[in-house]
Amino acid sequence: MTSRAALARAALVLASLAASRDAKAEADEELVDDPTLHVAASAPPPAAAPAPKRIWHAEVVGRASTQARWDAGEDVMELRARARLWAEDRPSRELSWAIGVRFDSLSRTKRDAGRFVDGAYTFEARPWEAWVDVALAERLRLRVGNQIVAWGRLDLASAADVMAVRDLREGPMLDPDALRVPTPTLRMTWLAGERGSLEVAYTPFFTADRFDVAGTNWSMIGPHAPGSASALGDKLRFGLDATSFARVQDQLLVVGAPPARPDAGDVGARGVLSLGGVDFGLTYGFVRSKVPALSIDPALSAYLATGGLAESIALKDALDSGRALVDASYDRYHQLALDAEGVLGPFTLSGEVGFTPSRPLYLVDPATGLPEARRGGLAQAGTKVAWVHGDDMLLSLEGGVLALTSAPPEGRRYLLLGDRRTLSYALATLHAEPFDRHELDLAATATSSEPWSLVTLGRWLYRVSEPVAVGVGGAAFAGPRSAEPTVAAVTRGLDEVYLYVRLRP
Amino acid sequence: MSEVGSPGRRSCCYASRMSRSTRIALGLALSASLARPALADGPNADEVARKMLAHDAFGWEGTEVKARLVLIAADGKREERAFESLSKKDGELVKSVVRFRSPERVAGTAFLLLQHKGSPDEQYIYLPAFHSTRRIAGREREGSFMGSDFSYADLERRDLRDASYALLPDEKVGEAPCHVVEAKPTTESTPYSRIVSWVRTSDYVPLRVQFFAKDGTLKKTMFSRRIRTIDGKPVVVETHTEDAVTKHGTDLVLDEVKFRSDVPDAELTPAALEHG
Repeated sequence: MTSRAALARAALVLASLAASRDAKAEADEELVDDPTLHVAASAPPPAAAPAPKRIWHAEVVGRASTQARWDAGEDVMELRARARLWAEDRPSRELSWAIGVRFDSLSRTKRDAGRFVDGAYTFEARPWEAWVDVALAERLRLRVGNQIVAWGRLDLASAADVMAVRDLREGPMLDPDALRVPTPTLRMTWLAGERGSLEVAYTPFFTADRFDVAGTNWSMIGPHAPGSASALGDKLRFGLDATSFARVQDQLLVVGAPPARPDAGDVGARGVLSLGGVDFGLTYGFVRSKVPALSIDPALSAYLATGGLAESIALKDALDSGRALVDASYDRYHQLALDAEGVLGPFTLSGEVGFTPSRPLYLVDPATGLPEARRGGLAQAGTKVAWVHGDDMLLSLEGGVLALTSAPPEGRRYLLLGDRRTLSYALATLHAEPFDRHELDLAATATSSEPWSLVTLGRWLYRVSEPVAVGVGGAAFAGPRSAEPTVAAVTRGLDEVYLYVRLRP
Repeated sequence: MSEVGSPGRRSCCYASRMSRSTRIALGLALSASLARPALADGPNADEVARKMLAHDAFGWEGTEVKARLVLIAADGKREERAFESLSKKDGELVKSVVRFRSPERVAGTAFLLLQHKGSPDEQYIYLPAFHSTRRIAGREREGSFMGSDFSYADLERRDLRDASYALLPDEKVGEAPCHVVEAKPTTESTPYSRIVSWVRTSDYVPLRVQFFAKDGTLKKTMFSRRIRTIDGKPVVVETHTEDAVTKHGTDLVLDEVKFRSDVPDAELTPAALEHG
């Protein structure tokens, strides 16, 4: 009883305190009586009380895709959905945090001779951004955890974006946030002032780019893979019994990663200095290639080269002995990049130059059709012009050139480049909201490999309500047909039509 | 809740008790004073403008604010955007950062403004989808700020700051007597030909601001709707801005205002945008 009375007294005190605070707030407030304002001043405030702070967020994006042009035995119909569930908060100026999980699902089926075959469903759940950001001092911040580190100015081929890990499983995409993969990273930022900053990032646990090896439209050994890789897939499929094929495929699907040791990770540093209205950035990375260099067991190599019965038996023996047929390595390299960004009239201009003296490059093994690693130098340069209008239009034009410093060995060709040592590209992107609730995204990429290729993507979304948007889109690919493993060959025949659903509750 | 016009009503009652001759004399004096660009014994246009800017009645300088933009379409449809801002005054210049919290499609977007004397102001935007911060060009100042009736230029207030001023005849907004000051921006990139502010004489709080386009037509009007005294200082915590052509409206509601003199410079840097 006593405690109840005490509680009641406490409640009364709190209530009276709150009431006095409200009364004080009212006494300290005045309404402006402006007769020219068509809304009467005596009307209630235009907005209700603020909504409580949101910590939890969710996003679901679904994309159903089908080929615009059916090629028997080649086309895969896909229904992809990705969902992110995350929480983030900044309880104080000294602390912020985020934790999230991402789910990916893929239902696919292949159309062959008028029938849908090879139906499959995969589901994946993995940690997404999960970090803690603390202010160690007024100008020093430390962010630890699974995070995305995006450096550089260019969107397609940034020399400064050394820490990036990408998810390439959906092919060319319009959602930049879906392309990046967070990695366990320790990042220290020194906020020197409005004139500059310095960042150091260290990723002890290596994460490779995500890609499908087989079975989807954008897999490495898929129905639309480069000619030789596609032939390789056919050779494996039709030359081996079903069990052996599945075992080889399993080995191809699983590629090893460097050990999770502190000395096996990636490290990068980036400094930015603003001078005369221009931001200059200098980036250095001692990082691993995010795409593996493959070494093939002689038994598999011989089978792929000749495909005879003896080689088939030798391959089966190798499988039975439990030997690894494919060994993947992610070699390290040094990367240096210089970039700048400034404004000119209504445009934001950016530029980058980058150089690595020696990094893994990829040749095509003429015997097996598989990529073969070879170290070489790479220089690259690019520029971008962007025009942002309010928050309803972003137009960007980017162009660049990548040049290998050494020619391929006699009789070999670089993957995607053919005989050439340079690759130029141009990228144009547009995001616009021309009407209320309507979103339009367009992107076009032209590459001057041999032969040339043009990739165009488009999407129109309509926000039915604030959390729900539906839309349609498409992808079209142009370029001369070629048996060579070039950009044009990779994208040949992949014209697609999409249906989109996006939920942001 | 008191009415802004209260002091004005008291003046009115006092005037009714004055003799007729006194009223006539005062009326003549008032008429004469209205014909001049500035009151002889009152502040001149520059003083009114300077005091109005120095008063910072909208709470954008040296404050931490939690606020909402309510976008009101011509058909009455409403969309709310919540944001937080942090600002610091450095002499006459202001550094400020705005972070959007809702709706989901803009949540996490952050905007930094760095004003400079003698050189163009700098603006940066952090887009969470790109995980990167980029500069925004100066001419984009005319663009709408997050779909509202405010432009990026309005946030800078450079058009009011770098301007030539003239005092128009005093008027009342409701019952509150106001100086009416006309600012003609001198900046080349301004989207306005002139900005006319009705500034309450008692505390230099702007009660109404009209923005005129380059062709001289009225572009939009901002009305102060609610004023709260915070730490002894009047702050306009609710405004309604309406586009004269499209009739699109924007309510700006400041839910929390804290005056802060201890905002670290490091918080107001491009690199810090990502750490919000």
